[in-house]
Amino acid sequence: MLVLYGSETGNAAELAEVLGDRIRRMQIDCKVLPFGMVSVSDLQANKYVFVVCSTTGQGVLPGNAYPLWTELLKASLARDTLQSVRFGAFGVGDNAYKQFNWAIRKIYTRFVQLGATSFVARSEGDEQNPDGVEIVFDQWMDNALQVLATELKIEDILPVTAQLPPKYKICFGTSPKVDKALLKAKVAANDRITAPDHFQDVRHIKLDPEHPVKYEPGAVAYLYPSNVSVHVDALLDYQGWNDIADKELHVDEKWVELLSRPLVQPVTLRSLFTWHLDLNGIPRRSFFKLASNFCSGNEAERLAEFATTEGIDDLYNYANRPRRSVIETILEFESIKIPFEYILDLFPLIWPRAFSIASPTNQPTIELCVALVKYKTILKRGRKGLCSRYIETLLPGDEIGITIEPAPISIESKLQADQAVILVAAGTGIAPVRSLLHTLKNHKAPIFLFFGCRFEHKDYLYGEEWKQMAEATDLTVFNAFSREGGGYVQNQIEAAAEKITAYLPTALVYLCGSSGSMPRAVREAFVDVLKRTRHLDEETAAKVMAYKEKHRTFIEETW
Amino acid sequence: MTAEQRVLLVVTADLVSSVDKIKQLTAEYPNADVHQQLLERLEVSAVHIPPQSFDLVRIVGAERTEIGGTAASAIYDAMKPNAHLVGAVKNESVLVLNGLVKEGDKWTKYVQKAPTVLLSRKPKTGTSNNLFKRKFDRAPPSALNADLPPLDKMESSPESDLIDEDDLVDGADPAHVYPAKCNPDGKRRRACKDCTCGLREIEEKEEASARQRQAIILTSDDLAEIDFTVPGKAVGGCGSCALGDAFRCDGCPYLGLPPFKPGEVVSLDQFGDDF
Repeated sequence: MLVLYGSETGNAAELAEVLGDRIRRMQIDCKVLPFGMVSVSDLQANKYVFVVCSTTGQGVLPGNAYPLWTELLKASLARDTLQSVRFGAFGVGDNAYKQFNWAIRKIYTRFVQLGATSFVARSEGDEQNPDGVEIVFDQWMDNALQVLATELKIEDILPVTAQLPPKYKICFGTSPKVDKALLKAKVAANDRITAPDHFQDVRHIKLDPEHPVKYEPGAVAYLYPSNVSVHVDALLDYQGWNDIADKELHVDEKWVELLSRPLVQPVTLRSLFTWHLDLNGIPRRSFFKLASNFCSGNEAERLAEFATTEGIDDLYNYANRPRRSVIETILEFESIKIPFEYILDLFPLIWPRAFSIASPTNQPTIELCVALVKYKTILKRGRKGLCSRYIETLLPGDEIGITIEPAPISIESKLQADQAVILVAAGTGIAPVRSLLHTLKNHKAPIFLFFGCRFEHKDYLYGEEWKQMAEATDLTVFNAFSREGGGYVQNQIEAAAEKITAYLPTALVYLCGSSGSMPRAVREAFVDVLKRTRHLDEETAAKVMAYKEKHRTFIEETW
Repeated sequence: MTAEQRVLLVVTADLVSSVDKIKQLTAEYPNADVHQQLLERLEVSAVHIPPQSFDLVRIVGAERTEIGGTAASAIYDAMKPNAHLVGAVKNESVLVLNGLVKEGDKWTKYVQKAPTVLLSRKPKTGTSNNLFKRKFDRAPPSALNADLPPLDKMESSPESDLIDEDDLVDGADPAHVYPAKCNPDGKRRRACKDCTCGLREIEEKEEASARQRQAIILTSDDLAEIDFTVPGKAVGGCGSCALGDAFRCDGCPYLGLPPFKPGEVVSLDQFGDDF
């Protein structure tokens, strides 16, 4: 049996693990793997396949769903390719996006097209739902497992409280060498580009890769943050692992396959806790579930409660809302004694962080524009994102490992020499837009940039550059300084209706920034522009934008 | 003397046999040179119309007509500058995409001139009122309109042997969507991510007041050490305060602080100020 997940940030992977744990309790051999890691014949070899998948970008599958997804899209596949497969599908989505749960719907439809049978109704979780995704997932999972137990006539199910043997082996010894390596890059600069008195610290980072990399505007750089040594030391100390912390270890190959970065060698407890196991993230349900086995008395009981469906609100208030980290949680539970052989099961993996590249594509130096995450919650200590802390400490001369992923859509090949360009960016959404703008220095058609930030003199990222560029090209910049009465980008678009309307239907529109209400408002603003200036009805105007999106002349890059 | 008006009737297949109707329509333009074309033939590029050869295009169908992308592009090309298009069109978006501008019941192909004026960045006084006019001087280049793929065809590159994955979504039933429901009353729920019902504000207020409470307990400028042995700051009646947030009540004054042993000095500086 297979439990496959397509996951960008680990949410879907966590649900898949929860499901895998429950299946193992039915004494069924079950592998939990990234969707992309198996082949079509692996699918055929399994009678039951579960898929848990999130949606990313403009309704596409996460990166770890490839290459299997490409295989499945081949038109030449026979209609009975997956005839022997019975499958269950669960989607993790966010209703704030227009393409809500498109990934799982695509998978579902394609599986059915290829002859597979859905044995339990597909279900879709919504991050916007006040119940969160988990309650909907639990209902779906209970339902699915009941059907499964009936079909397979399984009666002997281990109670959820029983401790299972570790999934991934770890022991003293040596680990196999890995050839893969990250692209080495030297930090050339790491400068704050917001005013010192601005609330947000936005960094302009310059990286010199060991060899030049070709990429297009919209390409993404992945950073691989590490835990800080004080946290690593605290954990090793607290769990009494100091004397074995630097001994070489053998780790399960199945676990190594799951890593998003090459295994850092030599493998020791210290290296695992520094580079691979996340101490800063918010512990998820499976963490509490397993950790309850390693505690005693009240503490064991409380941790187990957090992992139940009924305990989800408590868990949310304890962990998610205050953004309590894994290491803090461990330090709070005095009786916790983690058996060394369970650490690969217990600790979540560090996921790489993706940043749209901000630099002109014709230079070797890669530049990023990153807002550091720092906030306060009810917890006394301030919070920082794992990657933000990592970036904050980067100094010129430091060498780090990165990877570069190509742009999801090649804008350069889409754009015609005489096609107008309408760019919309808010905050650090300017990064891919800046990359594109610098490649458009000789563009013949008009370019419109709508940029939104708070203050002209505090966080107007790269504002100086546009002034220069506007002298050489037909670039018109519309700024929305929201805290200075300038409204938001959507207001600027509406105000500029007469200026952009002639170009809007044929222009390439590129919209970048955080997800949520901004992309929606911008889309509405464009519809409004078409309606007002061309006297169209709402439906027709919306269709024009939908058409543009379908034909990739309206490209969104939001996160 | 002006040249005689050239009118193009674009007729759908279901009307083409009703000769009377066509005759009647032609009669509406007594002084014009009236031509007719079958919409379906335009759609499959079976006919070639000389570019910029008609002053008026009239779409004629039994009901509101749906025009494909290829036909729309051919019609656009057939129109002279400033020519008009009339008739009931179902999918008006295809006309917009081909660069026609709607005014009342008719659509116009505005003159396109070589771009000469830059859109004003710094409008000079007295000349900044021409934006509307300039819009029409600088309609989008028609080469682009010709490049637009047919509206009714899916985007798929011929060299690819992959199916278009977006087609998979159109067919999938969205039946299992769980809509977000805000529930500020009744059972306490957490706020949605983009909460608009006020629950988020309630939560934030609570958190702010929890922080406030702590500020009273703590010495105002020293976060590093908190001495719970100070009289009057004893452990609460439930006895769980010392055990940490996992065991503390909703309004516990110690929320947000690490667990402690009653009587012990709690230190926050193990990891510095930040986590």
